[in-house]
Amino acid sequence: MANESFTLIVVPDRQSEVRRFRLRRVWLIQALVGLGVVLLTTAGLVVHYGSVVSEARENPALRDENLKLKSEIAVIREQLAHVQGTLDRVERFDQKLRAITLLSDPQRNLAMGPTEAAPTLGSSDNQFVRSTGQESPAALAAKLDKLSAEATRQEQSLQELQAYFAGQKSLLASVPSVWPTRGWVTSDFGSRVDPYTSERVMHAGIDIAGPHGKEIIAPSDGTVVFSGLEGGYGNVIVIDHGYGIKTRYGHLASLKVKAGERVKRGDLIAAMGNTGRSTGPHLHYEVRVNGIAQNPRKFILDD
Amino acid sequence: MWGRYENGALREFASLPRRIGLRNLRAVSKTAGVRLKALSAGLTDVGRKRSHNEDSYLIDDELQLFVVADGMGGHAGGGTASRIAVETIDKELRGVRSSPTSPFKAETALQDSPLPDFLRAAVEKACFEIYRAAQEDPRLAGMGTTVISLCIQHEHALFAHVGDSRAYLVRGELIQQISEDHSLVNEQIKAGMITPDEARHSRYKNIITRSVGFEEEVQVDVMGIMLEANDTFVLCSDGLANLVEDKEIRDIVGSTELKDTPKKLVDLANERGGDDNITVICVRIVPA
Repeated sequence: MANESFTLIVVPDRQSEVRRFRLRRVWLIQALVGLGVVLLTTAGLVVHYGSVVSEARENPALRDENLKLKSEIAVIREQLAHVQGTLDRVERFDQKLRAITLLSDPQRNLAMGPTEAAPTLGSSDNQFVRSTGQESPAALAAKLDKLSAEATRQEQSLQELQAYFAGQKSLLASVPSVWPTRGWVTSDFGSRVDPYTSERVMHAGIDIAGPHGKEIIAPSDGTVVFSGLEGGYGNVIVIDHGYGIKTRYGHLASLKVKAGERVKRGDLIAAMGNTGRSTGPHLHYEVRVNGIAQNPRKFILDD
Repeated sequence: MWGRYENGALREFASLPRRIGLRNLRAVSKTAGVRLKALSAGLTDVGRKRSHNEDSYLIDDELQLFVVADGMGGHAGGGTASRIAVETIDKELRGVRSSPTSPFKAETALQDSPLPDFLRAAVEKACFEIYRAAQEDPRLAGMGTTVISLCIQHEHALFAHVGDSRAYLVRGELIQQISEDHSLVNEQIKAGMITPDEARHSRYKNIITRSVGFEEEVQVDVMGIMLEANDTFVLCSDGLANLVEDKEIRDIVGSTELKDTPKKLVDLANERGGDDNITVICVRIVPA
């Protein structure tokens, strides 16, 4: 049986000789099987091609959608950063307000930390870090949760403060919460190099430079307790605001108020000058709480 | 030249030279054209606890100069130092006034007044004199004194200050300490180490950080303010300031005749123990 064979005879029309092919049965079966495999593979490929073609037709739509979603996420991320920034500012404001409420308590006041924004590590080269691009939506959601928790906390804190301040109108009026004059801050509170001796000394106030004669206003309500000359301060005014707060204004060109006068926030008290131990027209502005010099910026809310 | 004081009974100092000592009331009209004048009264008292009075004071109506000095150091040194201080300051300023370019005549704005520099120089001269006297006599070694001095000129009140004697301005409801104490407790307050309340009971409250004559040179604070009619200045040693509150001084000044005010303040300090010498000068500015 295995050796069975067929003979295929090809008979031409004319004089050519008859050709005869002898085919073994096994060959025939092998050929048939081979043909079957090829057919099946082709059919499979055709079906797959069909599906790929239909998928490819969906692709541009998906791409568009993807782009849209990406830009939406970028917007949300931006908004999140904005909210974070706002919350940070609210937090600092809150701390300042709290600083004011602690005025009457020197012990706690001494222990109080800075109210300036803490510098974030490596924030300066943020633009070279693609961290924001790799954040997953899950991380975004976590951030959002954190922010909303923080916002709730802030709200509570501010409500507490509001309740506190409702009964403290006179305290609010007494806190030197605005700039006594506008100008360039040429020397801040804290350790500095003395312009005369070049030694490192404590600078008990802030220096605000401006044109000679520039107006200086009372930053809050109080009583003028000194208006005159005092050694290195030159012409100086001292205002007692109550609650243990005193402000001093040094190097003045002229004194517009006298000791014993009551002043309100915004009242003109003096003109900027260069009297005393001074190297150019500026205001030396000091805030002392219970006799202790404090950073005046701590009380200024309108920055 | 100061040797004649060294063994003297210091309590008698009040009866020493003409212009130094107890005066109860002085009216001085100022130079023509100025509408204010100064009345003054002063008193010094040994207190209840001390055997010597080491305070000295000066009322010089011609110069309109008022000085309180609180001496310290040794058995005789304190009184000697304070006496040299008031005498030297007076002598120096009299010399300045009689010079052809007297700063007492100049009418200037407060900030341009030349007088503060002369006041400062007078205290520095006193410092040098006390130091020299202490070098010459070992029994006086280490003596020194506080100085608070007030000079009224035209419409200005000018102060020179070293140590913890005080100058107060009483103007209506206001009482303000013009001088800043050069004392250890004041430095502690400024550094936030103690509260003003704790300072009042500190056992270091008698330690001063600057004094006239303890060293050859001293840093002198000068201050100046514009006068108003009815201002009252109170110059006093710490014997008063430690025992009587600022507000009490204001109330007594406001309710007592000028000539009786020093006595009343001294009596109040004595009632509360009088644990140091007490010296008070009150100067009232009135329309001429």
